[in-house]
Amino acid sequence: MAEGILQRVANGDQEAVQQCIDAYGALVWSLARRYSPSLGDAEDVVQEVFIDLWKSASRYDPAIAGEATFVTMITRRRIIDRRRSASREPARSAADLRELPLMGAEAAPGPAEQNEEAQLAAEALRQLLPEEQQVIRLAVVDGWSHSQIAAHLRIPLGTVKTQVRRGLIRVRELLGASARPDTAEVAS
Amino acid sequence: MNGRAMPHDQRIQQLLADRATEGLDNTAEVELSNWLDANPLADADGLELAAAAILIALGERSVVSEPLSESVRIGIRRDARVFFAGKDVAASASPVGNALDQNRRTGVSVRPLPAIYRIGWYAAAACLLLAVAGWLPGVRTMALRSGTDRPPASASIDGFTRVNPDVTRLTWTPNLPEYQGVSGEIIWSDRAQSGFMRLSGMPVNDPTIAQYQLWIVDPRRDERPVDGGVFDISGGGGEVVIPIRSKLLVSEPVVFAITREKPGGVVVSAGPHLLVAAVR
Repeated sequence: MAEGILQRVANGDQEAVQQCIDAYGALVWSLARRYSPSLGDAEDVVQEVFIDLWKSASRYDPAIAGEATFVTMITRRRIIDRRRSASREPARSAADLRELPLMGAEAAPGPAEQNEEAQLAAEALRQLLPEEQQVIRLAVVDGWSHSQIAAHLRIPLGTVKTQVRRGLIRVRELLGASARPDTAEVAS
Repeated sequence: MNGRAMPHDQRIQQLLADRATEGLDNTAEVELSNWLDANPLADADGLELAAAAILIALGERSVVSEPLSESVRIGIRRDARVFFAGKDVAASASPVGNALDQNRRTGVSVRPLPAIYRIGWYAAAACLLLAVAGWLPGVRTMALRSGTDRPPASASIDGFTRVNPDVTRLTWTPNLPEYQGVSGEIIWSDRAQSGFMRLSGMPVNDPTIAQYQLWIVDPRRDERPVDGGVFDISGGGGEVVIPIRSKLLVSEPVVFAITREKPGGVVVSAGPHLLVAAVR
C-alpha cells in the first residue's frame, strides 16, 4: 500500500512536506480562521500547527484514523491551548463564530468530502439524546467552555461534563469498532 | 480504536474528555500526563480523534474571504527546513538507523556558542537585556502561554531525560536582589522542544496583577527571544516543577530568562530579568 503523506513526512521526504502543506493548508487555515479572534492570530496558529505536524508525523497511524482527522486533531489541540492561554472565552453566540464572508477561494472540506471517521461520528451522534447532541455540538464545533454551556442551557456543570465524556466515548467506540485494516506500522 | 484501551478510571476519562474540548489547566494536565506515563498502553488520543471526527462531520463548510497568505506559506516551509535539517544533522552522526534512533544513541552535541555569548553568562544576560530593549514593536505574538500548554508526554523529569538524551540542564541565576533566595534549573530538550523549570523560593504572584513569563533566546532565530509562556507561583512553599514548551521552533537556545509581566504576558518585554539561565 502506498505510503500516505504524513508517513512520508515522518521519513523526511521533503516533497511530502510540500504536499502536506498543499493538501491540508486550507483545512488548517479554515479552522484557524474560524476559531481565532484575528487574522494575525489565525496565521500564528497555522504556523504552529504545521510545526506540531512535523513533530507528530511519526506518531500518525493510518490504522487508527485518516490523515484529515489526525490533522484536525492537531489543529484543535493547538487552538484549544491558545484559547486557554489567552483566557479567552469563545463568543457566546454560535452565529458569531460562523460569520465569515462568503467570498473566498479557500474552503474547508464540505459534506461531500467527509471522511469515513466523520460519517461514523455523525452516526454515533445520532444515537445520542437530542440534549446530549446539543452539548457535544456546543463543546466541539462551537468551542464553548463547559461552564458556558451549563450557563446557557441552565443545567449543572457536572451534567455537561458527563454528557461530553459519554458522547466522545460513544463516538470513539464506534470509530474503534470500524477500525481500518492494519496497514504499515508507523514507528512511534 | 487503535488496540489501546480506554481507561476505566472515570476521573481519567473526564480529564481526556476535558482536554479534547476545553483543555486542561496545568495541574490537571500534569495529573493526566503522570497517569498516561504510568499507563503507556492506554488510549491517550482517542477522545481527541473522536472530537476531530465530530468537527469534520458537523462543521459547516466554512469559506474564508482571504486565502492563506504566501508569507505564512513561506514561514511554514522555512520552519520545515529548520526542523528537518535538525533531524538530518542527528542522522549524519551515525551511518545506521533512523533520525530518532540517532538522537537516542548519540545525543545532540552542544555546538560552540557564537562569540557574543562566549564571554560569559553575565554578558549573555546583558546581551539579552539589549535584545529586549531593541525588540521591535509589532512582533507577532509568539503564541500560547505555558500555563495551559500541553506538557511533554513524559511529565516526570526522570522519564523525560530517559527518552531525550540531548537534555541540557542550566542553573537559574538570580538577577535582582529580591530573587537571591531563588534556586532551580531549566531542563531542556531541543529534540522534544520542551522541558521543565524547577524553581524553589520563587515569590508568590497574584495572577490578577502580574504573571511570570519565560523567554528563550535562540541566536539562530531572528534575535527576538521566543515566548516560553506565562506561569504563576502560588502559596505552599517548596519546589515547583513547571512543564515548558517552545511555541516556535528553537534550535539551540543559549539563554532562558524570566520576567514579571502583566496578566497574560507581553509580546515585547521591557524587563528587568528576574532570573537567567545561560549556556556557558
